[in-house]
Amino acid sequence: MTAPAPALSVEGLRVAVGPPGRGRAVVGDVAFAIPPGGRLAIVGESGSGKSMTALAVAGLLPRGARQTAGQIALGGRIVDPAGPGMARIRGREIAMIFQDPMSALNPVMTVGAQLVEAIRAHSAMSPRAARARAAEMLAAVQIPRPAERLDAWPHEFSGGMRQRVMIAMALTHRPKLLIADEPTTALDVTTQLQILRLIDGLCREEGSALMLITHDLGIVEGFCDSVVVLYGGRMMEAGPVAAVLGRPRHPYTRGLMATIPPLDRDVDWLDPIPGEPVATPAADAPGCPFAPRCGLAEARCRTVTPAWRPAGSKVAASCHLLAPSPAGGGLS
Amino acid sequence: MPSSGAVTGGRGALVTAPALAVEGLTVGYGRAAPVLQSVTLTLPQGETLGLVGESGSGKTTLARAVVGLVAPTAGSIRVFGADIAALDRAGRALLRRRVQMVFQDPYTSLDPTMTVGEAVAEPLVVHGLGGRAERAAWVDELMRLVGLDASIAARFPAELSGGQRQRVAIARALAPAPALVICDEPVSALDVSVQAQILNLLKRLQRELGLSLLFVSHDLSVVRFLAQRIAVIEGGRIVEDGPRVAVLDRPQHPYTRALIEAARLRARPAGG
Ligand SMILES: Nc1ncnc2c1ncn2[C@@H]1O[C@H](COP(=O)(O)OP(=O)(O)OP(=O)(O)O)[C@@H](O)[C@H]1O
Ligand SMILES: Nc1ncnc2c1ncn2[C@@H]1O[C@H](COP(=O)(O)OP(=O)(O)OP(=O)(O)O)[C@@H](O)[C@H]1O
Ligand code: SF4
Ligand SMILES: [Mg+2]
Ligand SMILES: [Mg+2]
Repeated sequence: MTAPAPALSVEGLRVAVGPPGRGRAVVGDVAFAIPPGGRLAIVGESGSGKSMTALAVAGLLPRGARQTAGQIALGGRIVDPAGPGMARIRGREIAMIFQDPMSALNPVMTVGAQLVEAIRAHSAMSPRAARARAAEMLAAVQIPRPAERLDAWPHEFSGGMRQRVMIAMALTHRPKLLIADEPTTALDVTTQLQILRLIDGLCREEGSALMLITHDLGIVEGFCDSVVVLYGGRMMEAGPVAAVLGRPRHPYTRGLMATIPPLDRDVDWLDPIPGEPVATPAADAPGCPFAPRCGLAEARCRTVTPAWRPAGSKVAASCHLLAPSPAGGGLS
Repeated sequence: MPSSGAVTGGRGALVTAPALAVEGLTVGYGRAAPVLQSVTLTLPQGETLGLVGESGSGKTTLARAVVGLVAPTAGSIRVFGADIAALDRAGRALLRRRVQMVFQDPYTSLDPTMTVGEAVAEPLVVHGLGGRAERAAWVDELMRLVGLDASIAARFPAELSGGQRQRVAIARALAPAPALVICDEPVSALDVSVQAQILNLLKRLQRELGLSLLFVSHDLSVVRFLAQRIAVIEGGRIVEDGPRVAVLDRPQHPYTRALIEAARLRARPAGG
């Protein structure tokens, strides 16, 4: 028996910004796969290339950014995200929700009208039936008195309610893959938890795979089964959540964990990664992008790009110190 | 009339009154229902009080009331023992110097037309503290204290990273040698590595300078790291208040428990 084709597979993805020929690589050699119904997290600090990766997959890269290499396949079928067929695929097979629901909702259309439009875009439902379906969708995302709320304007909804509407819209056509780019970053923690549980539950019901972008490792731990750690547009470490967060191998993953204050015990000082995640080298520059901030960096880290290699069962990472060495030592 | 000297506080203060004592504070905007209802809080001198609650719960309003930016409809605010409503002119001037604020957004809280050096020196000029040479020396010292290279003084905010801007905002707040510093979500907009650097900095400054800190946040793990005491605010009311460990490890109020459960989303996973 062969394993079912992954809901999404990404190989050798590169994204550059700026004029062709003089552009700058912001995503380099990103590769991962999500099995049907799987839940993958992409984590990393600001500017690490999380959104660019997601937007490339959804075919929504902003002007001035373009995919320069790599292959993207949905359910085993290779797609061209920049091609003309993508609009049909988006909304039906892939759906995306963003951090700021206000910017994604049309402020001059009622919530109901927008839902009806989304429903009818990919199905032949009558306006009346679509309106009934829209009310069902609001109920599914736990908005009280859904039928009445169809006539509300986006500004009459709280941030959490708007994000619920976006989720309802994204899941209208039971996509095989839901991409959520920091869907709860702008919300209160208690609302965050409700929204993440909602996304989680609906994805399970519909059998949708989830690609969740976040910078909170607690969210990764609570809601995902595999994780990709990005820095400077490149993959630092990837694997099952329990393995990567339970025993991080890569110095960046380790640094990221140590830098976060714990909730369940007192610590006197935090152990921050020095410097800031700004002005990382281009994603195709030689060397390790983390070298300027890494306490373990050696001379070769600045000139030789570390290979992507296994670092334990199902875990892989890119760090020179993870290379098997005859003298022992290293990080693994 | 209380003497203005009572606001001095801090190191060498004669009074042992709390840095901040808020009692029965009710604050409203216009004719709408009050957004703070009978809030009572105490921040002992030289300690950090963490104030946590969700968006709209009234945290910023409380901070603004303490620095006199909004007037209460009922209740009292005492800073180092002095009732701020009863201060004379000199007392109010002293209050403005001894109580400083650091805001959430390092992008908008600094004047884009001022160099970093000018921004840090400005409170000294405003309060007429020191001559030109002393001010320059103190600005140098402050930059060192917050971990910024002296060369940054000549730059403009737009040329700085988010973490550098927040360090500048902290240096500026420390310039007039305050005894009470109010931080309104000072790390919420920063990346985790930079957040950790700023949290370490605030803790070190609080200890070295003997500052009293009111630290407003919606992140319980951040508050656990910094505060000796935690107050939980919901809908303008304090629902729980106590020593850090008691509030976090033995929460009494259901809202505190819900906040703790949700806070795991932002905290360090168990393996780390
Ligand atoms: N529209 C754009 N044009 C040019 N460069 C861009 C554009 N958007 C992002 N970039 C650059 O691409 C890189 C990756 O950005 P990306 O938005 O993917 O980061 P991110 O990991 O999503 O960060 P954040 O956590 O801040 O959302 C950054 O260096 C960023 O400055
Ligand atoms: N200038 C104002 N005029 C009228 N209402 C206001 C004003 N400022 C705040 N409010 C209201 O007062 C309540 C408390 O707001 P406040 O800003 O103190 O909350 P907060 O806890 O700081 O929230 P956040 O976490 O979002 O910063 C909210 O309902 C808010 O809408
Ligand atoms: S390759 Fe070198 S710089 Fe990069 S993480 Fe490993 S040790 Fe640090
Ligand atoms: Mg992003
Ligand atoms: Mg506030």
